[in-house]
Amino acid sequence: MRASLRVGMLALAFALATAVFGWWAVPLLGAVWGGVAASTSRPAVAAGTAAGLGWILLLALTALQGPVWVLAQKAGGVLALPGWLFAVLTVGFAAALAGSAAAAVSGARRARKLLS
Amino acid sequence: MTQLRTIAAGVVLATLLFVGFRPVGQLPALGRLLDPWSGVWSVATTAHLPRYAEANVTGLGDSVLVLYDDRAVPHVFAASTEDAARALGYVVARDRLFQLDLQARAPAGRLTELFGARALPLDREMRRLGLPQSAEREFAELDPESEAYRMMVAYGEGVNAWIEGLGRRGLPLEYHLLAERPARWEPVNTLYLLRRMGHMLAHSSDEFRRERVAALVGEAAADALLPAVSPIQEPVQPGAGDYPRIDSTPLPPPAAPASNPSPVVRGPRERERAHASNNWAVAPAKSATGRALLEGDPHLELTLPSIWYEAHIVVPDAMDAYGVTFTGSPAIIIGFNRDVAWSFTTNTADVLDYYEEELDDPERPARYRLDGEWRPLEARVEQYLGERGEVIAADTLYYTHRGPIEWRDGRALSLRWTVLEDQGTIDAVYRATTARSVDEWLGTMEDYLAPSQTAVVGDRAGNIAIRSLGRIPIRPGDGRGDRVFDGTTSASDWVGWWPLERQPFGRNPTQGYVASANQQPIDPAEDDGYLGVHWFPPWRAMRINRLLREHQSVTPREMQLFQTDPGSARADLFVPWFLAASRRLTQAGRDPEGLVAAAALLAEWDRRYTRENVRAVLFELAMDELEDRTWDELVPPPEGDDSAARRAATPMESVLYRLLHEGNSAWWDVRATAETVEDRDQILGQSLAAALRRATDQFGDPAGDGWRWERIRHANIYHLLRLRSLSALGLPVQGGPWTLSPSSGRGVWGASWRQVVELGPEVTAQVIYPGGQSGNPVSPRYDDRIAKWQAGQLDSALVPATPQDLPSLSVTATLVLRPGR
Repeated sequence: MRASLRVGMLALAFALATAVFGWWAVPLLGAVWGGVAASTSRPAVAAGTAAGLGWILLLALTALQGPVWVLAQKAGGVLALPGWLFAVLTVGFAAALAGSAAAAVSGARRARKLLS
Repeated sequence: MTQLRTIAAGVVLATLLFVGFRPVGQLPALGRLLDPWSGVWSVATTAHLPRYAEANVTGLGDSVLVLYDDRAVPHVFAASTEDAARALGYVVARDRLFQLDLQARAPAGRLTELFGARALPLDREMRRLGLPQSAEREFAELDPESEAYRMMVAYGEGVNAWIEGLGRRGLPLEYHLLAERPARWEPVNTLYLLRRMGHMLAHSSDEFRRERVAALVGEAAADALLPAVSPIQEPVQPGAGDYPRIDSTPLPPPAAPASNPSPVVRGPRERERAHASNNWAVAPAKSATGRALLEGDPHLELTLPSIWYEAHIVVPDAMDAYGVTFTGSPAIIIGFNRDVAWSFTTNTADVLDYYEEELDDPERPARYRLDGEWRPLEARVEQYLGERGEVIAADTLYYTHRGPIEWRDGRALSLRWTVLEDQGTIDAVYRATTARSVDEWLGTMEDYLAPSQTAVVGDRAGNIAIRSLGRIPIRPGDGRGDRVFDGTTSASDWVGWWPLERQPFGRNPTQGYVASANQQPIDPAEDDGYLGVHWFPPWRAMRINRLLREHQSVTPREMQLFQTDPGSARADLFVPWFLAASRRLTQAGRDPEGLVAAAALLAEWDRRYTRENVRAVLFELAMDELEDRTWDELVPPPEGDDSAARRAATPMESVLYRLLHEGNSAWWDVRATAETVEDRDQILGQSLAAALRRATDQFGDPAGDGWRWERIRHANIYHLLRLRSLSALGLPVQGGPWTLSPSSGRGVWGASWRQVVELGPEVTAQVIYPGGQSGNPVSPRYDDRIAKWQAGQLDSALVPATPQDLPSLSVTATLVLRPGR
């Protein structure tokens, strides 16, 4: 329960950071999370899941203002992707960014601890 | 293990950051693109216009109210014409910003700034032709007090007000894909745009086409194959003659080909010549309603979004005009007001000449010879910028007193072209929108200079008229302009302009209607002055004239049906020749294999290009085969690895029809069959039999659905960037090559706008274009009109005189523009 709440709060943070600063805030926040939660279990999974959820939240907010499914089909088509895959790519991109950033930083911290 | 995982995560992260920040190949940088808040997803939030919006616009003298009706057409209610132009700029930018930007950059030769070096050839062509240079010169010479100048500046203020209010979330989809932002709108952009239209409508290369043909078959044959007098006369200018009149005199035979034809015969492949248009007007005496009726349907390249934007502008006591503008033009181009309606076609007059120049140094020229003296060339360095503003190429272009020099086949050719000279379009077109009668409209358009057009105009008093507009040069000597002139003498230069009163004209003719469809405009029996060569065949003109002659009491509904009429004057003329030749060959026992079956199938055809028609394809393939067999003399001998058969030029089908009247002309003989001398009937028979073989191979059994016209010929409406997912492709339509709603070639040209206007006490209009008002591919207004356009249907235009006249249920959005600070 606490883990879910933590991921939920983190997802909100990812959504807010993206809206305010842009997409590059995702790996930054992921890295920060990897640093502060290095000792917790699976910080990368938490960061990746939260980032994906954060972007899903932003997509949902956008969907309230316009036809995101049509957008997914048209923009996906430009990249020769079906609409659903374009949506998956979007969410997956955020999740991979945040997850890899968190994994890299938390792994580095653990390695430093081991070395010291 | 932990270390490995950490390293792997680092590699993944680095890769994602790389593709997030940097474009890879054709892929844009994914980070900004996929950002769900301010990336491409945000385009969904602008799919619908807000029900109510306000904005400040610098320069406005008073508030402007814009009401969008249920077809997303903005009705602009302004206190002054300049405020109306500002509002128009604002609403067009709101709906079509990327198109505005792209269409300004293309003729300015600045596409490389969006697309990099891959756009260099296009940019070079525009600059080599001198289009941006001429627009900039005209703008610099404009009187700042002139109507045109003030309107262009005001329009730009409106566009820029929209751009300045844009955040990333409001950017059109294309900017997200290109990772670019819109450029600020400059007033000169309007003139760039008009140059682009001139390039599309009035650029020809008849000189080189004729050179290629003459090199292969001799001068006399070249003159006959690319004639200054169309073999079929159905002129624009109403005349006393009995039309159509067909010239069936023999064609001069081809001369023997030169043993070593000059390199000019391998000139560049000709572009599809498909821009065309129809317009006609019916007098009250011939109209079922007793009122003048006017139709217009310009055939231009079909794009998404459309080249046109529909709008209604109301300025009390000054203007009340409805119609379509080019995105980037502050004036209604085709449309109507409370009293007058008008439309244009291209009149295809020859308004361009090349002059072979003698330069002092072909590598680094500084001077050209004229009348025995060396004159300085004007040099202009053209720099092409890349996406980051870096210089990616630079050219030095040279100008003589005639215009820009281009190099072709080792020759330095200078170009004189009316499109590069002052056009006066905006002033004339703007004033024309305020005319109250046909005569007033024609009077205001006297200042219109280029590109040369044929206008049809009607008024509420029941007058109708047709007139060619724009400058047409008079050449020295025999007056013809289809040859490259000697540039070393000023005696080659144009000596004047066709006076307006000599240009094709008709007003309230006794026939009760006026019509044009790009055919030769004046019967040479009435005026044999040189206007051009290689005329569009008169098939559409013949068809519309026939329909209008046959109908004594035309209704607006019939006008609408005529627009997509599936009948074909071309088929009416050619099919009997195929069938008669087949009959004669069969009776004589000379019929090639399959001819009897092919003739039987062709005889079943009703000569209509309806969507479900299953025989039109056979005729089209037979015509294709007929041209290949007949004009084999125009294929240059293969050279080196280039063995692909490619004609140096293809005479118009009206020339082919003239040739049909001569059964044993040397043109029928196929040079490849040295042992046989073919005649007309053999060529017609072979063509028809071959067409059946091709049709069966490609489309299956004649009894099957594969022959249905709708499965073979389509309209293809491409997005401006040719992105397939944003395009509407493979659209079945009624019509075929040279029908009133033509569908030919790649299907990318067609009726870009259709209007039928009834000029009664209250003007009523039915209109449509293929596309929609919005340039946002996600918007339901992006392509909402296509289905109706395909079906040949029209929408009723709402024309409120005041905001209160627009039914509240029809108002879908309101925009209030206030004077900005």
